Amino acid sequence: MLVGTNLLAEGQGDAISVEKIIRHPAYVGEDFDNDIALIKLSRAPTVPFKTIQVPDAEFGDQLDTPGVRTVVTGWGLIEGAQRTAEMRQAEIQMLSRENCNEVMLDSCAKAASEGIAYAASAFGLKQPEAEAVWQELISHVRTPLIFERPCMYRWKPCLQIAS
Amino acid sequence: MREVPDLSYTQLVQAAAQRMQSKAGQAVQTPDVEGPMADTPVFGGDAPGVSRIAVAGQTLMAGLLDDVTANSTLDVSSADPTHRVVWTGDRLALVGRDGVLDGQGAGASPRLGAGEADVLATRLTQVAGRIRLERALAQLGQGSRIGGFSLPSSKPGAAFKLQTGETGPQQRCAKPSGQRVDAKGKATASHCDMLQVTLKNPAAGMVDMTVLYIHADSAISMLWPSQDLSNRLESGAKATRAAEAEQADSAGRVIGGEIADSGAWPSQVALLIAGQPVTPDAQFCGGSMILDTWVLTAARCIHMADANGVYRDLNP
Repeated sequence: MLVGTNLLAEGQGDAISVEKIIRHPAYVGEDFDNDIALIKLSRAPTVPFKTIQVPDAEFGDQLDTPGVRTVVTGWGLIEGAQRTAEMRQAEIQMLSRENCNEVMLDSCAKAASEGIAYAASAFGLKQPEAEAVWQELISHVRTPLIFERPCMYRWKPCLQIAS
Repeated sequence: MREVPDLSYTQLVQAAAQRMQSKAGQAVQTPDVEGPMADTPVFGGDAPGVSRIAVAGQTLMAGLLDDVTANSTLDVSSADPTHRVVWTGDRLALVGRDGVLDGQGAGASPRLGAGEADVLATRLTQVAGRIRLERALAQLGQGSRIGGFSLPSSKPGAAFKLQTGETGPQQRCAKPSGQRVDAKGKATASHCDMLQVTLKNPAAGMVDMTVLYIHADSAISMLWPSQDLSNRLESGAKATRAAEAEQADSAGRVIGGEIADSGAWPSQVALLIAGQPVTPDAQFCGGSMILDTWVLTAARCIHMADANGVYRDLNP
């Protein structure tokens, strides 16, 4: 665990080993629910740091309202796959799970409809023919899309066509 | 090219053709030139004292600019020019739509090649940039209409409001207090006016939107998103941004947020792979200090699939 630095480099901050890890017992590998854990450090950091105040249930609900703007910080991958040594921050907006599901399904549907549109232009299909192909395609989708609930789980393929 | 002051168009094209052939190493389609301009000099001959732009009396003798006499005006851009270029007799100068040279006093109109901040050269570059952007956007619009088939969905929209501002002391803008008026079609904003844009995304999907503000002098700046933030508009989201008209700062967009100030997030910690040197490659997750020796993190950071696909907690 590296504490008290923006920069991931040797000699920066205080590197502390981990003594214990406590995971939320209801967390299962692929799900977004109960995605929380505690880590106990072997000692307190010797560099300056601050603690956050964990919001109580009421304040947590206020923060969890769709549209609330919040800042995320960290060192994740940027611009696709590049790692960053410097801590970054970005402003995001909270999204309800329902909304998230809709958005994911919509983007899946958009990708599919763009594919159909491309195929239609490549084969010179007319509007009614293209719509017939679309109807044919969605009639082969295994489960109703709404039950897939993509924001409950990790990434899943957009359409599963039954052969 | 620079060494031949009276280079003609024919010579220029021949030189280009030779270069193309020597580079390709075989017969290539080569450009050709013909017509009444073919043997006129590109840079206007070798008149003494002027290397690239030759002048005879008050007339410009420079290829396509031939016969431009004092106070002849040239359009900088063909579509509704806000600025024109005039020949002053010794230099090219930039004037307003009215074509009046030095309307604000002697030497007020910027001259080409005059002074360190060559205003005219900057403006010409900006106009060129604007024209390129407009062409690129026009092409983009054509490309998106493939197939003509799409699912019915509501489209995101942008609305503009204009609030008249006042110029305070020392040309600084006072806080605008007037009524906000819907700006539709061709609205004219003057210095210090506040332009407000409201974006709405009623669609079920998120959209990426960028709203550019093109200044009267063709400089381009961004109204949405604000600097360094994402241009993504979530489903059902509404965003408002206001900008002072003619405020000439150009903002760039950074994907992936911005670099945080040192010490700005003192509770943020990094989870690193034990025993590896401290580098970005060793980092795999983040967390927050909640007590002296306790860190809050996500369960997915410490509970993941092993090589056999079995989910396990990491060992401390």
